[in-house]
Amino acid sequence: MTQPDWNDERLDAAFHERFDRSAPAGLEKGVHVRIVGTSPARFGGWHVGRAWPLGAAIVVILVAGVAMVGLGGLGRTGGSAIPSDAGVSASAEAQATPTEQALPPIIFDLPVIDVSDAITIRDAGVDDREIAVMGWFRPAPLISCPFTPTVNPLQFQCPDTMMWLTRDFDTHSFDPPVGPGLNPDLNGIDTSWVPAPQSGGVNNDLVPVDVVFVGHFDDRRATLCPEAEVAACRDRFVVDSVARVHGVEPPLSVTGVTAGSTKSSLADIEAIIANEAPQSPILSMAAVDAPGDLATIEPSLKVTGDSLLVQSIVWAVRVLETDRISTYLVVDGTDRIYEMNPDNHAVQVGGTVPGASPTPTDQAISGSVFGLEIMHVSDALAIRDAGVDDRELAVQGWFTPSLAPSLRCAAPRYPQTSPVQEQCGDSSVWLTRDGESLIHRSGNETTISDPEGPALRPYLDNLDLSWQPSDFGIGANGDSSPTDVVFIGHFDDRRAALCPEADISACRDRFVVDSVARVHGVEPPLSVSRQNTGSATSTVEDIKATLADDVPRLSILWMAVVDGQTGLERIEPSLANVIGGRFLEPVLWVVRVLESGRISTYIVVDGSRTIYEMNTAGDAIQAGGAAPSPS
Amino acid sequence: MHARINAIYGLSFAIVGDEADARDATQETFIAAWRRIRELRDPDRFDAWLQRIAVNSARMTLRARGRRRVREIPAGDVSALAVASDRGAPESSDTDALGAALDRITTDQRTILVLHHLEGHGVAELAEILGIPVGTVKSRLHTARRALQDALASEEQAG
Repeated sequence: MTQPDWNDERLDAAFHERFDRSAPAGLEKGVHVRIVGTSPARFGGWHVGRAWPLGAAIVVILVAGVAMVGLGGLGRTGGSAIPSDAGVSASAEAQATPTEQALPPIIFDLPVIDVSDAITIRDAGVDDREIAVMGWFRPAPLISCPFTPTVNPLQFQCPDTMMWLTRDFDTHSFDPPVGPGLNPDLNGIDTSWVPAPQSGGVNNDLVPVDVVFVGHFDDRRATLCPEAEVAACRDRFVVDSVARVHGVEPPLSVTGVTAGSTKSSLADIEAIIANEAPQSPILSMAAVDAPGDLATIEPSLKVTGDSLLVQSIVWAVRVLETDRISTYLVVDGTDRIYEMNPDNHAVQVGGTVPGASPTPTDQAISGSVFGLEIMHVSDALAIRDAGVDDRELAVQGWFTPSLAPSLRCAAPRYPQTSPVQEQCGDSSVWLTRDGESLIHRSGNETTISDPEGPALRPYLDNLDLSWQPSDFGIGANGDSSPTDVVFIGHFDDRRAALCPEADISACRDRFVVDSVARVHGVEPPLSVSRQNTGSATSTVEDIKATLADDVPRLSILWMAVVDGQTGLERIEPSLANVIGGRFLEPVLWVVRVLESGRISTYIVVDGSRTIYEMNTAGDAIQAGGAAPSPS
Repeated sequence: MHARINAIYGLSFAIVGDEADARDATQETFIAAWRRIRELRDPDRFDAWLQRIAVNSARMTLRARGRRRVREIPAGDVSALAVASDRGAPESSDTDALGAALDRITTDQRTILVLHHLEGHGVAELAEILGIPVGTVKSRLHTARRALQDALASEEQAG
């Protein structure tokens, strides 16, 4: 049969035959998932409260219809911990959220969705967009939990699995919710609005609170969870802000701040954030005791041994940028600001401490510190190699920090018998003459290279290292930037004699740093290392005054407060062999003083004027004070 | 609502000629509609407004596709191609010829023809959807049809 020419009828038929088709399965769901987390206001300048045009309403109806169709196909499953039969939730107990009618459709430019929609987003794949979820918050009941150390804030611990954000009103405290529900993570969020759990109430039930949480799934820190728990960590709903409680907007969540506990004010931190992320709303803030608690919020910092952990207080600020959360860390009392990148590294993004810019080898140096002429690394090496010489030296160079404890190390050849003995990670620590970049990161791989120019290995233990750049100074290009410093220290430390025989030569060659005299040309404050668990009654000024009576023209380079004999032995191991222990006082001060071009070490008993001086043989000889310490 | 998703998907597929790209374009269409909700002034013109967005999304998808250096071919498609190759060229039909011919013409020509023959739009509606004057629609539609006829003729000769 001869086909007619390609007239309109034939073309129409061919077009319909070829292109009339049903959308593939999953497309409606995909459309829905993308729409429920997307605000028209963010892109179209939508204003809350403005009357919606009729056309807009039609589109909303269309979208809602699409969503309903899509969800119907999904069966509204609530995930592993949640029964999938949503119909059961329409029980007599269930009631509409009181705020449902009064809620604005958009909070922080995010459309407010319910728990079912949030679960749809969670189960659709990796999606860390910020969402605003309305529901009933059911706090954990009052139960006794065993102590388990926190490795990652996203890991479920008792009683996390009993804390719920549910779609429906539900008061069964010990049971999973009947309808859809999420386990929220409220770490770092002010929860003073949560009713206190009470035992012995009617059915031991807690009354849920109707809330709107702003948060996200697929938190970047989930990758740091133990492998078996990564999926559960990804599914955790991390709350960044409590946007409504009983329909009322609570104040900005700020935790960890008490009167006078921080150097920076809230306004200071807000200004620093505004400078880095203009017009981006702050969702929550927390002033964190960095050595104790920062790693519980950002566990990667512990893995990499980040220098932020040695700061006193760090502000953790969560900011909504575009449609995702950014976490900024601001060092209290400074304008140094770091951003946690997707690889969980803290990258400095602002602040007055500039990144190091390597200078030419023949950079002119001049001047002196503590009466010591500043010299190059190569000059220091010449002194080291000329023979035994424990003179104090001021050495200018470029410092590359230790990668420990992120390194995997073999067992040491010999037990640690001296603090100047090299330990795992020390081999990556360098003071180089030239501004060499020695640490390189590509993806998850970090490599260390040895310096090409003159370099020495400094020993910096027990010094305040808060000036170190975060994340080893690794920049966006993956290369580290060393820090321009002047170290005061010495070779041929007397404690080298305590090293194992085979290591003594290497111990003698270590440059023991007694003071960090300059960082980027600026003199940091006196390093006072607090290693004591008890409380010292003497102040730094008391100790200075006590020593000033016995040491003329006192030049203190370093101080440490330690726990009596036990803490002292870590710095002065030769004192460990004194039978019965020499020092019974709970708190001691160890002070390094520059005297006649060499270092002297004094021990001052806290709360007294009793002074001991370490002699070259490693003994503590009383040098001052009224009463000797009991022995 | 389900029918509207199907319609937009079919339109997108006709323009981009690839299922995966059509899925992307359809999603982008509804996202864009949601974002640009305020731009719709006349609810009676909703379908034309949505199709205009769909056309733009399909064009954007094609542009993105043009930037890709390597296109992924599902393993099943590779097997099917191998089978087809083994047994010779597939039997020709109007739909095969049309599909092949549409590959020979420009995106703009394909778009206007799809809107005309698949969606059944007249000149005035095409002008609204494409955002061009009626006179321009007429000349472009004429040119596109002639190009398609030439392409079909070439396909028939080749077949």
